[in-house]
Amino acid sequence: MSGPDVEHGGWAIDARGSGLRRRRNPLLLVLAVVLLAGGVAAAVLGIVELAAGSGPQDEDVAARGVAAALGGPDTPVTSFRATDGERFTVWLRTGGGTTRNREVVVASVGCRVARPGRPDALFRGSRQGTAVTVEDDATIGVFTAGEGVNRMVCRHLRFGRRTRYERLRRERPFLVVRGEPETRGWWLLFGGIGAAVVGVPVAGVWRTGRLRRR
Amino acid sequence: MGIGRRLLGRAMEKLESLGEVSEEQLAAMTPEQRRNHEYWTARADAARSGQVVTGEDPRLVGRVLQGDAGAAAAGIGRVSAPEPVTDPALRDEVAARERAARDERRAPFRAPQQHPVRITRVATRGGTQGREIAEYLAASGLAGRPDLVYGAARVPDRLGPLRGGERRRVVEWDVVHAATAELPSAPLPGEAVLDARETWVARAVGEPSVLDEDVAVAVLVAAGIGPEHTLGIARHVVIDVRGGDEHADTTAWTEVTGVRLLVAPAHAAALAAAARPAALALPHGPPEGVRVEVLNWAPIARVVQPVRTKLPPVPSPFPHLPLTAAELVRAYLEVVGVAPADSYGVEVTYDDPDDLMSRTSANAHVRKNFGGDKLPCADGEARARLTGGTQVVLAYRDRPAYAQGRERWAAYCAQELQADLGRELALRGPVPKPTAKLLRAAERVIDVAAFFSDDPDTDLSEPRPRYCWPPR
Repeated sequence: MSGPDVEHGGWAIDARGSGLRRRRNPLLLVLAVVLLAGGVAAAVLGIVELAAGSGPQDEDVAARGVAAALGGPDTPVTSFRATDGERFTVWLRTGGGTTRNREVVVASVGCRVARPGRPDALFRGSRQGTAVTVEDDATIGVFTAGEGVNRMVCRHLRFGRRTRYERLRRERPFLVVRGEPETRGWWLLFGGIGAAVVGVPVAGVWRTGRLRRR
Repeated sequence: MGIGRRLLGRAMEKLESLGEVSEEQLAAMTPEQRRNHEYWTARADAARSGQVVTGEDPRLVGRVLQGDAGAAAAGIGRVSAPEPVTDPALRDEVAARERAARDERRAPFRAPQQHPVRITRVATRGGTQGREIAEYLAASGLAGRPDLVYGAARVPDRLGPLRGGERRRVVEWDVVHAATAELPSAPLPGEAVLDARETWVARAVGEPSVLDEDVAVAVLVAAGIGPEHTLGIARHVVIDVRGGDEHADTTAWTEVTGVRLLVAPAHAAALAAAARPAALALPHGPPEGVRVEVLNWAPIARVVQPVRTKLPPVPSPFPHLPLTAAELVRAYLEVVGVAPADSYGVEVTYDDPDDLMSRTSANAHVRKNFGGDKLPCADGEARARLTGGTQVVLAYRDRPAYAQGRERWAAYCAQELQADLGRELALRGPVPKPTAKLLRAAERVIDVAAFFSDDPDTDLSEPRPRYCWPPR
């Protein structure tokens, strides 16, 4: 509080005849702007990418199949043609439910792929490190296909407590999709946020500057 | 005589002596405690002799504020405060009217010899404030005319945003001076900072401790620097905002860590030579011929600005009281008539640690670190402000004319302000006994824990007297 008794005199070092000045490094300003603007832009782009393309895209679907129910009969073999070394992702249509139920369902599914010129690929939803879930679709795993016709089967296997088995006694559709799940969006989002967070103190350091003799 | 009768006799003697206060106990009392003691002794004597006791409200005995403001501060009765004006133009108009009325009532008490009083506020950055204020004093030419400077000190407010330390934050300084025309630039002033943790004065346990200004003036006297060559004595105040997460409330504790001395450029070397920790021969109080006046501003601030993050309400609930500490500074200088050439320093500051997050809401139990007014700062930018300061401290070379001035000041305080601003200060309290080694070790452990936990509530150690610790 100042009131009528106090005259505002500006910055101490801006006084007429002052021998000091506050020197601000323009490189720090550029760095701060790049970090802040770039960070925000990257974060926005990341969100857009995640919203637009992180789930399975129809044009990328190579095959559709059905995962057999736990204890149920085998389902038809799913076949698709691929070039050697092509990467595919298997997405399970979980059918919704609570997060916990979905996790159990995804973890219980195991798949086997017979690949020409390569040994069979075996993978399970519970062993994929990080499952990507977009709405009701969740990844089961990623594999490398062989040259020619690849054949695969999936089925629900025992997972977790017995009380949960009932949920696994249902057939569920799955998709074989070219490419790997979208992760660039996450990198952009978190990288962008990180850059913006670093940009704030850099801007503070630039604004404070350093005192130098004129 | 039987043992039972002897014991009974002793017990009766003990009971009778319970109400009595020994000479030693009286001597150890602070002025406020002594005033309270005398008041209640006289009142008890009068009541015993059957007299009707009238006069001062017993609930306000020893308190700074008397009258309506005192009653409001003590929580006695209801305050019929007028509805505050919200329109800025009208607010300024009403505030100016109230101020004019106060100035008019103060006029009869003003000293016959008046000196101009100008308070110039400048903005600095916390980390470089000492260097920047020295530069300002040089550039403005005031460093070359210390006889025109009453003092220079940091403004005790914390400016937003309200988190962390003040190294990169704006910290304002007030330069109180009497220059009415532009001055030619001068060389940089001499400066020294006395660390309050160093032992500057030898004191024994129970002896009065020292004020920052006592030590600062003693150093200046030792250096042969008079007030006409002094630009300011400024307590170095640190305001640290901490907490504000799920573990702890936000706190903004103030701490005086030392005192900064600013002198004319020609005396820089003498000051540097004298400003070295040594057992200064300092009597109890300031050096002879020097007056250190401490005015208790906090009680007034509490009633005129109940919420420190907002402007004081206008019309003021107590329009006879100054609205800002700067107004009180001006009032004192005008009434006592202190000449700038006699002034060592003038400042609005703190003594004991104070949490600025108190009085951040109209409800005493609620603290808010948001919702305050953004108020203009010295650089023209508006920022959130925790208005602080609990004391106004003035140090000056005493003269007979000032003794008369202080009589006028006392009369002005009693008649117009209805206050005794020398009360409830507990200045120069006795040096406490150091804690035992084991306790000290425990304190150190707690300090380390507090440092790492960043929890201000963990720091349980008592504040130690500055400049005279440990005792001899």
